[in-house]
Amino acid sequence: MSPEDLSLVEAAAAIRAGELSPVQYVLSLFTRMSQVELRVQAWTTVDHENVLAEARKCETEAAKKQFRGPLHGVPVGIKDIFYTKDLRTTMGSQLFENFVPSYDAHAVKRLKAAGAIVLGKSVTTMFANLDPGPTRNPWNLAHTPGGSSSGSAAAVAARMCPAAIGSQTVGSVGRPGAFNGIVSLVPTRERIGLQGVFPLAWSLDHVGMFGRAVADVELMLDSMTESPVQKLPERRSFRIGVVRDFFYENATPEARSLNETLAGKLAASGFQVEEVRLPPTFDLTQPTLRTILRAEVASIHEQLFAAHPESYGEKIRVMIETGMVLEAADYIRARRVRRRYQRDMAGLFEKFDVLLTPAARGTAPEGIGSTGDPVMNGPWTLADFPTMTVPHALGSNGLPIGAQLSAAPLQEGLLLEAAKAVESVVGFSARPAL
Amino acid sequence: MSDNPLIEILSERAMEKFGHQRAEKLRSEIEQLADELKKLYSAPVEPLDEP
Repeated sequence: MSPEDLSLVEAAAAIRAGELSPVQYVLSLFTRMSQVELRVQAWTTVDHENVLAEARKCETEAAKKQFRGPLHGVPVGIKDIFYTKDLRTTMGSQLFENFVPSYDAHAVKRLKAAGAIVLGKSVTTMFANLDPGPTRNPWNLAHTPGGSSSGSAAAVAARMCPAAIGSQTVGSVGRPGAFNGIVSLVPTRERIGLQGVFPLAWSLDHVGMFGRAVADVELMLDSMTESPVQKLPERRSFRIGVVRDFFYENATPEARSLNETLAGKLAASGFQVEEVRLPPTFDLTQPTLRTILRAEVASIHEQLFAAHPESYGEKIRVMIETGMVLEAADYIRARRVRRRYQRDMAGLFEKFDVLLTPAARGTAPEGIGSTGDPVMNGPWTLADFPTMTVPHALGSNGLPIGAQLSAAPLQEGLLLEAAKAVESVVGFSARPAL
Repeated sequence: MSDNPLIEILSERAMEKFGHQRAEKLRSEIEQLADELKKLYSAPVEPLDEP
């Protein structure tokens, strides 16, 4: 197997066993980049010299059996919204095109402490909102990779790195995960600190991660989390709640049908599969989410926007301006409704281990003028449910379709075990032909 | 035409802040925002529902 085809877990194990040289690994990823990056455009900044220097240090240490952590010598992608010490961080905006932070974001610090090498800064949409960057979907370059974590997802799918981190405020990890046929995880917000991440909306932002297998994102989570995730003994059967309300109305006929097929496969494999009915508070998801988002985005960008309105893309500009016409009472109201919503939604897990929905409306839309619609992901971000997307099928256009699995807050251990079981039943092995 | 009075209130605020032309461009977003606020204010909340 070529080094670039190794999963994160495989690469980490091979380095530890002395079977893979960190330097050779980095060089093979650079070669892969030279083959595909011009077409995919996943990266904003790659400092080849420093990456190689770090790989050499890791190699010297590994030869002496000195390992910094479980990710020793493994290069990962970092969404360009996370501060990286001495490495340009642009937030996808010309206003920051020469900005070089003097410190690492907390998540980056944790990854480095685990031994990971920052391979490069991956493309983010402007300020992690909806104005797209140049990245294209490796499965079909005429299609969007989704966003806002566009570059991270595309880079992992295109085998330019084994794993990467992103951020999610509504659907910026789950949607690109699904569109790129890879696994994604957005843990409960408090699991990974957001210090050093340029915010889009403080109370909605989450750190997320991408890999090519459930075990990969598990390793990434374990490397970054503030508090250890309780691991569960292996199980083969889980109580799966299929949510058809709202999610099926918003899915394409193909995505609905494939989700039903998946539910059937899981039932045939011994999972307890039943439909979930949503509480009435669910109808308030969009008004609550959007009011909080508008108000917080407007506040965060208040000064920059006033000084440089011409540098803002239309989509984030509209978000800011509509946030500016809100009053404090509107925002507080939305926060209070969110609290109630979270309480009501958490009650669903009395009967189910995980909830299953389509991860996106369908396959990645054609064109790169839009990153798609986060409608499927927002409800779980608002609820602060740890959520994963797992690829399970190809659409009729050859593009991947993802399943979205969510668990109760802080139940990442249960979610990961359920996702592994689903992954095993599905056996998805397709990859982009790039 | 919607009978939501919030549309005009929000539109006036937009005009004061951004001028007539920009406020007109934001009209459909403002109508959506007004609809969302109407739903939020119809939602039951109790004193113990803290933000």
